[in-house]
Amino acid sequence: MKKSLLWLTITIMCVALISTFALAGCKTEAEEIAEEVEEEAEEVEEETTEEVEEEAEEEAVEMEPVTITMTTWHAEENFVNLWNALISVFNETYPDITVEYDPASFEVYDDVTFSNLELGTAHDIVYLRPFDLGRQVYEAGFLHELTVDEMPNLANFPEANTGPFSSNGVIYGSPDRGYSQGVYYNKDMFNEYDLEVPETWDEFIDVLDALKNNGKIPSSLGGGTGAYLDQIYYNTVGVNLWKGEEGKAKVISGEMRFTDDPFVKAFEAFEELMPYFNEDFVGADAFAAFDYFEFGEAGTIIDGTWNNGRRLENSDFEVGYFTVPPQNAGDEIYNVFINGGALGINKNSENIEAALVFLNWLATIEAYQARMDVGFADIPILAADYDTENDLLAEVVTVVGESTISACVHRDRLGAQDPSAATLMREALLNLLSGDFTAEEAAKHIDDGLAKWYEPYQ
Amino acid sequence: MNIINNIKKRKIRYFLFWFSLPAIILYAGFMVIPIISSFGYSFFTGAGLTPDKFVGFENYIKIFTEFPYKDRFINALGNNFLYYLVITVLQTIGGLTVAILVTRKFKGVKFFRRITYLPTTIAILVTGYLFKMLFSQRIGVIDKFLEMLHLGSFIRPWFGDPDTALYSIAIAATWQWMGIVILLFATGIDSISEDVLEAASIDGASGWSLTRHIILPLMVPVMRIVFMLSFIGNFTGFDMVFAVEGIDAGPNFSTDILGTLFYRSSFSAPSLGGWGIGMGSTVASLSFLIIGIGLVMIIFIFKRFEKE
Repeated sequence: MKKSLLWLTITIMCVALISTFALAGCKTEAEEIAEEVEEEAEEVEEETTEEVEEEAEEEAVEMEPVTITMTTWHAEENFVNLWNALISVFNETYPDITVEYDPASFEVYDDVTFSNLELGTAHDIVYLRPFDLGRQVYEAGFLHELTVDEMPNLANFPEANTGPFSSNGVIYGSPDRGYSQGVYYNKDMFNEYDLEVPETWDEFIDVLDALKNNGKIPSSLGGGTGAYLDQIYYNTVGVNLWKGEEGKAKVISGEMRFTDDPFVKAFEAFEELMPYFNEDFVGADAFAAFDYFEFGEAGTIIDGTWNNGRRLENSDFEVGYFTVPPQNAGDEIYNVFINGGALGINKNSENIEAALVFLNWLATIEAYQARMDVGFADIPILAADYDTENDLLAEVVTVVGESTISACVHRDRLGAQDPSAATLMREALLNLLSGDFTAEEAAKHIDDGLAKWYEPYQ
Repeated sequence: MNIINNIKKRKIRYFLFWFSLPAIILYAGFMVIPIISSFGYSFFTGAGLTPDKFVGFENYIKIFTEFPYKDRFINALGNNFLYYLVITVLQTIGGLTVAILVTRKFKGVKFFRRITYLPTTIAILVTGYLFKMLFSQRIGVIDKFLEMLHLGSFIRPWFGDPDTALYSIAIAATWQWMGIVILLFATGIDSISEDVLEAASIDGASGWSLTRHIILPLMVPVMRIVFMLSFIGNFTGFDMVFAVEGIDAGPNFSTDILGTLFYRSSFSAPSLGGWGIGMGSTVASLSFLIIGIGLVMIIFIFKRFEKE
């Protein structure tokens, strides 16, 4: 009897195993069906002519009611409200396309989205990261290719903005918004101590000295948030030294290395700022660092303009913005500009046409103005004379307009494998902050790490 | 009579079998099969969640020989052992002490016994964030308390210093799970026969000698369970580190343990430390092996200790 019970148990476990594999087989069948549907859709696309497109545009406002879903990594309540407000503006022109905003948290967004794209359960519209972070999504073949034929307003974006979301000449993401990285400053505090916006690096140090002598935290820093160290602090401080895109292109090609002068000088500049940071700069995270500024304890903070509005709601002083100044007066001013994200369409979406209508609308000056009107505080990618009541945003747009913009030096190509330039830069900066590395050693750490896998450095 | 007994035993066995059958199916479907699948994925490589290129034992060779895999794995393994030791020692000493206290008879003991379990009911992420605030140099009470006691020289950036971050997280985890340890020890102490304790008292044992010669030896089997559960929990742990330091397990991977390494290597982008699901499954398979070996060693050590 015991034997028969044992055999029965084994039989049941085998049935469970076989059932699992059978379900996996069904998934394979579903994939085959999806491929057939995709081939048919491609044939239909080829038959579309310009006249048909124009007719479709005219009729765009009168589509069959459809619901599309979109996801981003901004799950904060104010972003949910902003996106829903923007969607309401979209619906004034396109009432039949309902857009459901369904974000995931920042920490898990990439993993969840990639998994969902793989499993075929992703939203119709997904938010994409630029350069290496997003490349794995583009090159995995999950996204619908965007063309000017299908999305005429895509032509409004310069190549510098679509490039980070392209692969092999194919655009996968429609740029959404941009962020600048620079220095927020407390205007009231500057007025109190008779300080001016610095125009050179030495003047910047003098300003920090003055703040320190008056008992304030000159500049707050959150060394506990690794991503801030490499992306924000090092890049914002150093972009003038390696001359923006020029230096970036050279360090990617291998013509320059991180051990070369401009990049070592960036580490030295960072060291020069260390006496002016908050006492707990090693352990404080980025939010704690911003608290110092927001509550009037710090006079400046190097940060990104995604904080406009969102993190400055509690400040009871006037906030200003300037870029980290160049070494010498009259030198070209560079500013780190991040293409914050782009909108891509899930290739397996059943509502590609509606998604294209939404993306096409978002790529207009009208939509960017609507963004400002509803309260988005990011920098519009399309240049125009916008009407905004947000003085800080207007100041940021002016400052960025007067600079030569550049992406982060280490996120393109240098992040394709582990250890990425970002990871190495973070380690280097943490060791610099703790006094374990000199500027040269920090630079060498990045070079040595990249040389292990990055061909131009081998 | 024998026949009747055999029939009864058979009926009981059938009864037990059929009632446990749903659990067996669920266990097989949600535990055994994923473990086997994960082990299978460790022999493959490729992008996404279903790697498709068979590479044999290459992933295992890479993880013990190539940079950065070897460095990250050895670092995570070492950190995990430290993490386990700190938590287990603190929980055993602290848990046993509190258990001895709450098994005495005094007014309000039931209330105290119940509230020792409260931290365990709090979500791990909430505990992590709470301790982040407690240890914050800007607003945290720990540093203010040290200053008050004129011990300001001991103040550190607790979660920001590679030398203190792991221990600080271990303290948070100790606090979180202390309730279970106290419960186990208290139950063990309650199960000691009153006659034994009376006899010891009559012989003149009291206080420390009672604890040392009666309670502690009888708690060895409970300690074995505590060590084993702690080993499993801490070597599969992930959430406390994630709550405090994020998936980067900073600063400088000083808080990286096998759980965070597995998550990051499996699901993160390459620029954020991702290695692909194949290598991630390799980490998971090795973790499974380490936990199995560790449990066997704990049982073996405690058996020898109990014999002596």
